[in-house]
Amino acid sequence: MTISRNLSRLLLSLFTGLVAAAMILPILLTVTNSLMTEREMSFNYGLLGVVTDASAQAKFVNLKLIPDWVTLSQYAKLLDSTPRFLQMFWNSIKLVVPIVVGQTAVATLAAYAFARLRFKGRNVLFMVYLITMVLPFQVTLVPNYLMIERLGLMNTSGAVILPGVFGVFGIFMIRQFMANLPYVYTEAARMDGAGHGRIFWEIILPLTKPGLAALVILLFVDYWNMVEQPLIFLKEEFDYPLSLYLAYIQESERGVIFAASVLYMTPMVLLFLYAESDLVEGIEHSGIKG
Amino acid sequence: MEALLSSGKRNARKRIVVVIASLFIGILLVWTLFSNMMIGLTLPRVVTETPAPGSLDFNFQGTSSLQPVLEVELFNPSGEKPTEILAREGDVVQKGQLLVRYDRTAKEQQLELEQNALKKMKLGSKQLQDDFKLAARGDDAAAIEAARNAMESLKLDLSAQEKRIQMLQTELTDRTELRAPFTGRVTAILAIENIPSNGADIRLLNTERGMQFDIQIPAGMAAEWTEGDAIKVRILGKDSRLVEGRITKMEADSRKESNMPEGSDATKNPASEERQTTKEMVQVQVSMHDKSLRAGNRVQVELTQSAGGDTFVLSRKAVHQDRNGFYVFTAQSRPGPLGNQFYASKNYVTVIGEDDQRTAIAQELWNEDAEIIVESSEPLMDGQRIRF
Repeated sequence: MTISRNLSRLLLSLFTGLVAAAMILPILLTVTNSLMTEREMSFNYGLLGVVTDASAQAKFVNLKLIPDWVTLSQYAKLLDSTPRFLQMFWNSIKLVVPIVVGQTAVATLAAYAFARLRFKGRNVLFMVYLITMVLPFQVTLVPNYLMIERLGLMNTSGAVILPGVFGVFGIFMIRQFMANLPYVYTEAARMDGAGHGRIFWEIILPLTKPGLAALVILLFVDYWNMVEQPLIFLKEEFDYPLSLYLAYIQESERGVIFAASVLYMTPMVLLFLYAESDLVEGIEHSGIKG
Repeated sequence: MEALLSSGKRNARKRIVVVIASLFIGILLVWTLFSNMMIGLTLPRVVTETPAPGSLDFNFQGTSSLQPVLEVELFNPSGEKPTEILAREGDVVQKGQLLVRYDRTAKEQQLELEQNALKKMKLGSKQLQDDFKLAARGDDAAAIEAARNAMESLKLDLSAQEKRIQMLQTELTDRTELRAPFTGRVTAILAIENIPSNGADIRLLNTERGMQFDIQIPAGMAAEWTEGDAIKVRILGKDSRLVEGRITKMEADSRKESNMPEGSDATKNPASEERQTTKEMVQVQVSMHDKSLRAGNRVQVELTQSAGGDTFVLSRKAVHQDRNGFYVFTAQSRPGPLGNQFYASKNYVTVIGEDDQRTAIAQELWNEDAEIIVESSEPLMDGQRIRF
């Protein structure tokens, strides 16, 4: 019995290890390749994507993990000679930070209302919210576009930020988190004469902190990677965020691609490392799986 | 206890992450500013100016010296020494007025001699008539013929002598005096009394035809002139004043005036890229009829011409020329990755006129907001990034 349990655990570990390796390998390759020279990359990948008879070996690329010569030249090239990257990086910051802050604030207040206030039509309204959440972006694209144009926000940061601030996902997630909080704290506070404002600010908000941390991370990742919204609502390329940067890199600049990818994912990785425990806790309590 | 340790580890890791994140953001922030500055330092530096609407007044000043239109030298007609000079330098004389008298003695003596010879020949004539009458009474035909011939011959001699005397009288009247052939002013007395002269005795200026001067004028300014037009001429000197002159002749000058100093080499400094232009010049002759004018007087012609009405005036240095015409570089701003970027944009313009410092260009071709590049640290190309 013990042997079979150990065997199944071993097999499970092997399987999860393989899955983990498959998921980590691209990230690892990206990081290590960003430290290679352009020449070494050419040797490894040949004329990747170019049809030629002379290079039959180009069909199979050499996925090399350890660079022959570690260099930061790709980063220097990226930061020095491509100011567009830096500009797009700050564009992403300018778009994502207001969305995350705004949606967190709006979601917290709305979630409190859905979770803790009793009013007529509450559940119906929440259902409507849920329905809009499951609708894909493409379905709401046209009404969104028309509304943004009417508001005169087209081709401005507001065209991306405003719909983001009033996103539904945050309300749903925090509402679920707040609904799981014990009512005894709020009842006790109410008996002591606390109003909704005080209960929200001093009882509910501190208890919702893990959920907020999880929401911040999920929102940051979601909007850091957004592609459709800036493409549709922003016409000036100078306003595009970093998520659209790879489209501007030429194939001859493979090293720059890897370096840009590493810098692109760095904020998300750092945020995850900072709030990893809160993320896990927040997702656990809200009942949402990532 | 374990939970406390775990919380401590978590906080320590959070601090490290915060430090790394701060470094990451800080490096990108510094690099953003640094890379923009570094790129900027490599760009050509330019100096710009805003074109000013207005017109360009072209000024021209040229000086010259007056010369007489007609001045003649009057020569001694007889070769005799002058006995009396009646004219003085500067005198205004009328046509036919006596200027110099010459010694008549020799001619008068010769005339007297010739007149005596005539009288003598007339006396011989009576004798020949008597001889003929005597021969006619006889029958000798040969003698009669000889007497007739002698008489006819004497008649011819008499006639010739009379003509000689007449010529001498004419000479005595005409060639012992020098008279003014036209109304004018005596500009020089070269004769000296009682001293024979071989050359000219009097220099006489025709005041009816006046004075004249030649001057080179830019062809653009003389374009509207035709022969016979009047222009104002300033007489330089103590009593400077304006006198009207009249254009008598205009012809294109084969020489051209260049704005490049002699010996200069434009290729030595390509950054300056100064445009070399040549001005077409016109040779203009102006005549003047003021009686107070003297040969050699300095005169000045001042011209002012306004180039067009609706023009923009800018520095001449800003206008360049290639085989397609005149052009200027303007500084245009475009939004760039790290703020506004400036580019040099080549714009062809219509040059209305120019002087040594400024150029007037047509206004309708111009965007008023544009800054025109006057100077640059390096030669510019269309679309090239620049900095101020």
